[in-house]
Amino acid sequence: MSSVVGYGLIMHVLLSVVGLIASYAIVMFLLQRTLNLNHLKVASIIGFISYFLSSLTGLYFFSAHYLPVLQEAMRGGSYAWAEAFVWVKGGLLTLVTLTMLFMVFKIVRKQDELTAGSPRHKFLIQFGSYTLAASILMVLAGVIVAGAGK
Amino acid sequence: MDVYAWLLIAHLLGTVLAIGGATMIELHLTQALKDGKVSPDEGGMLALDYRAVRVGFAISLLSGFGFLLLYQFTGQLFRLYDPVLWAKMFIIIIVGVNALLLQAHKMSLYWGAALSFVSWWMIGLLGFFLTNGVKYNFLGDYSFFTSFMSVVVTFAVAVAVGAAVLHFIRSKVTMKKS
Repeated sequence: MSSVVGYGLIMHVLLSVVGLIASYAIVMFLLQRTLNLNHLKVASIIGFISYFLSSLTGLYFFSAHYLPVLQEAMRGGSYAWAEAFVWVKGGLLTLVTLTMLFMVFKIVRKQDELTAGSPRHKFLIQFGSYTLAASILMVLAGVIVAGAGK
Repeated sequence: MDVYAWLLIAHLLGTVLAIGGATMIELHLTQALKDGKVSPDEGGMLALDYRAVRVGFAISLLSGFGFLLLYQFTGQLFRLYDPVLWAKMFIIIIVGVNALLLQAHKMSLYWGAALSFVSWWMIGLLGFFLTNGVKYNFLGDYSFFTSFMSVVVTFAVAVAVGAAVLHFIRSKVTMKKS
């Protein structure tokens, strides 16, 4: 693995974990009795930027290292089934990035309607929980595929 | 110092903050509930404890994934499929979900406090197991599944016992006061 690809992988993992922490913080902030819109906005924007950059670095790792080197090794290795996780992970990362963008949009737009207990608030709690669950699955899938090429 | 040493320091710092914070939450909560209600001062103290746990959680999570990256780069890939590591991640998810449920008031104090307290100490213990390569299994021949389930069963029993013990201590302290 070249050093550039290595740095790409480090950025991909760290940005995904930062995104996961931001997703968790969003749900935590939404569940507080008094909503702090500034905290919500900052967490959701950090989450979106992290997932977006993680998608880009992941895409770079995918095209520079996975397709030419890892794919064959994974198919011929001890954990051939893990190749499916690469695709699941890629799909989840795209999904999480898009849903996070939607969440930023929902929080920033019409802020006055975002009061505790309102339908918009309840919707965001559900939506944030699904995003968080998808983020956790994505990160776990990343750990599974990490060593599958041996 | 090499990367491993920095990661170890960060991971230990995060774990100490989280385990220490979870322990202080229990102590302060027991103290606060002596008179049956939490005063603003006691609430402020508990909020500080919760903040320490959250900061510790975030530091541990980032440094923990740093370790996984290090294993990837140094060819220690077998560590990524260690059942104790996956049991540890399972308990970390339980800790996170428990904190969300407590925040949403969907979890009783009886189970919520025990889950938080026992989980963090269990995470610390599993970290020790991982560092020292301890194979934990009491469910027949060693495999990923039996080892993983052994940790999960031990964790479930520890939470049940922990909940009863913590409840007993809280009841004793409250009775002494009244």
